[in-house]
Amino acid sequence: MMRSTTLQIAFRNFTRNGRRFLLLGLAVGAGFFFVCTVQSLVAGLSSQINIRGARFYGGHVIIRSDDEQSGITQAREDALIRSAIARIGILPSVVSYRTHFGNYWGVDGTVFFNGESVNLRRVIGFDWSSEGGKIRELTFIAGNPDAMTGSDGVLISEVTARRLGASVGDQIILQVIRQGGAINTISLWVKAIFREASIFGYYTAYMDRRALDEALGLDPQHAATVGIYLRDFRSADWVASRLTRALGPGFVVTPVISLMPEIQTMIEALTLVSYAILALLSVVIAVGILNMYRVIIYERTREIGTMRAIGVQRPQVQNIVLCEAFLLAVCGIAAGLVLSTVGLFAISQIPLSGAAGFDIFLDRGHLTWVLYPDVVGLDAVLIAVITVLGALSPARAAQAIDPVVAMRAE
Amino acid sequence: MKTRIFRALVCATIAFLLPCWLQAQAAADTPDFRQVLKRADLLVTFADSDFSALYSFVQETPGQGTSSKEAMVFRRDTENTYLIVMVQPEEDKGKGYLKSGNNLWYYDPVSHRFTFTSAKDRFQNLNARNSDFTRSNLAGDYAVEGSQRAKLGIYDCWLLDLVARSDDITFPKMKIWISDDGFVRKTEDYSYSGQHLRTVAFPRYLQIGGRYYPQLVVIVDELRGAVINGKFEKERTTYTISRPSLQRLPDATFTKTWLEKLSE
Repeated sequence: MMRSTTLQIAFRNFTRNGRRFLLLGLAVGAGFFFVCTVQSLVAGLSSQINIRGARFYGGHVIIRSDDEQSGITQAREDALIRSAIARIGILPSVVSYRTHFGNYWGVDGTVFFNGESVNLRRVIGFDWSSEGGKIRELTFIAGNPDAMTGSDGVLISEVTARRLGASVGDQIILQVIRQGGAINTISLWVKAIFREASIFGYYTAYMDRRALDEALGLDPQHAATVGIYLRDFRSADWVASRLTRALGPGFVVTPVISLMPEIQTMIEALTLVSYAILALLSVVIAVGILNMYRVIIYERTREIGTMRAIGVQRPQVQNIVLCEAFLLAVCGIAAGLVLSTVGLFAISQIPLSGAAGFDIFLDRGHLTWVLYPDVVGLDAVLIAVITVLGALSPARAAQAIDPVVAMRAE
Repeated sequence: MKTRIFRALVCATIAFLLPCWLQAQAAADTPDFRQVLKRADLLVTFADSDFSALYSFVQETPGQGTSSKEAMVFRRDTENTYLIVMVQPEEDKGKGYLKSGNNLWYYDPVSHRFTFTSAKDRFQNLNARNSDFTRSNLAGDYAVEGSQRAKLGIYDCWLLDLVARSDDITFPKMKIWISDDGFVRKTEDYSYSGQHLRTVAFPRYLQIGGRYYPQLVVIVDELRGAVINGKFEKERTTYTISRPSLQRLPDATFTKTWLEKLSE
C-alpha cells in the first residue's frame, strides 16, 4: 500500500512538475540518444565487417588443420568437429557447421578473357547446395547466381568484369598454381556478376569447390578450412575458445574477425570510444542531475513541507524523489531511443559510396545500424541508475526538510 | 602350278618382312630422346664456369606500345643459383632476384627488404618467368610422350611432346622443337589441362667457351593481347643477351649482401 502510494504520488508530482523536469529530461534523452546512436553505428560497422568477412572466409568461426598440407578431410571433420560442437553445447547458436570451404589464396589466381588479364586476390571454391545461401546475399547486377549448380560456372565482381570486358555467358580462363607448383588453367562460364565494392569483393571470384580442388590437384574430400556460421556473430570469440579446448591439438580455431587484424583493431577502438562516450555522458548526466535536482528541491520546499505536514514520513519523501528521478530517466530514455532510431534511419539514407576506403563498412553504399536489445537495455539501465544516483543526495536533503520551516518559506 | 605357288610364297614373305624391316630401320634411326634432351641441356649449361651477361628486354603490349628493361644476370649452373640486378629503367634500378637452392628472393632497394617469391611468377611483369633463368634441365624435368619430324624454318627438327615428371615444374606440358644440331629452337608451353600459355623461340645461338647461349629469345604470350585493327595481337617479350663473360665470380656474388650492395 505504502509502495503504490509512493509511486502514485511520484507519478502525480512528475506530471504536475513537467516544466521543471523538462530540461533534465532533455539532458537524459540527449545523452541516451548520443550513446545509442554511436553504439548502433559502431555495431553496424562491425556487423558489415563480419557479414563480409564470413562470406569471404567461409563462416564466423574458421577451423583449419594446423598441418596445412593435409588440410581437413570430410571424414576427419565429421568425426571430430561435429562431435565437438555437439559436446560443448553450442549447437543452438550455430546456423551452419558443415561448411566445406576449399579456398585458394595468393596472387597466382589470374583470369583471362580476350587478351585482358586480372590478378585475383582470392578464388573461393564453395558448395552451391550448402553454401549458396550466403553467396546469394551478394548484390548481383547481371546474370543468375542460381545457374551455379554446375561445376563450370564462376561468379566474378563488377570490377573484374569491367577490366576483362567480360559479360554473363562469356567463357574466361582461370589460371592457378597447383599444390606442387605447376601452372594449371580451367575454363569457366560467367554465370553472374556481383557488386562488392570492398577489399572482400574487388578481386574475388567464386566457383565450384570440387572443380577448384581438382584444378589445384587437391583431394576432392579436402577442405582448406571449415567454417561455422553463428546466429549472433558476437559470440564468435566464445565459440572459438570453447571449440579450441574441445578439439585439442591438431586444429586451429579462429573467429573470423581475427583474420582481419587491422580491421579488428579499428572496430575495437571504435567500441572503446563508444564506451568512453557512455562513461563521460554518465558523469555529465550525474552531475547535471545532482545540481538541477538541488534547485528543484529548493523550489519545491513548500510542497515537500506540505507533504510532511500531512503525514508523509521522511523515508517516503526520499523514495518519492527517487521515483520521480526514475520516471524522469524512463521518459528520457524512451525519447532518446525514439530520436536515435529516427536519426539512425536518416543517417542510413545518406549515400556514402564515394568515400574512398569506406566501402568495406557500407551496405550498398549506405551506413547500417544495429540496435541490440541487450546493449540498449544495458545502456538504459546504466542511465537510469546514474539518474537515480544523481538524485540521491537531493532526495536525502528533501527528506531532512523541517515541515514547519518549509511551510514558512516564501 | 608349282611356279605360281612359289611366286605367291615369295611375295607373301616379302609383304610380311618388308614392314618389319622398315620398322626396324625406323627404330634404328629414332634417337634416344632423353639423350637428345640431355644434349640440348648441355649445350647451354656452363658446367665449368660462371656465366654473366647483360639481358636487354623489350616488351610489346598491343595498344600500349613498347617498354624496355635491362638486367645484369650472373649464373652459377653448377650450384643452380643465379643473381639478377635490374639496371634500366631508372625506376627499376637496383631491384634484384637471388636464387639459392629452392629459394628465390626478390629484393626491393626502396624498402631494403627481401621477400620470398616464386619461380612461377612473371619476371618484372614481362612474359618471361623467373624459372626461365635457371639452368636448363629438360632431361630431368620432362618425359617424352610423343615425337615426330618437323621442319621449322630452315631447321629440320624433332618435335617432341613433353610431360613434366613432377608437379613442381612450372609448365607441366611442352612441345619442343630441337634441331638436328641439338639446339632448342622453339617451345610451346602448356598448362596442366593443356591450355597453350606461351610460345618461346630461340632464333640464334652464339658460342662462348665451348658452350652456347641464345643471343635472341622471343616469348609470345598466348593469353594476353589486344585486338588491333580487327586482328588479335599477342603480347610479346624479346630479350637479347650481350656482353657475355665466363669469368669466375666471387662466391660472395650469390648472397643477399652482395645484392644489396649492387643495388646501392
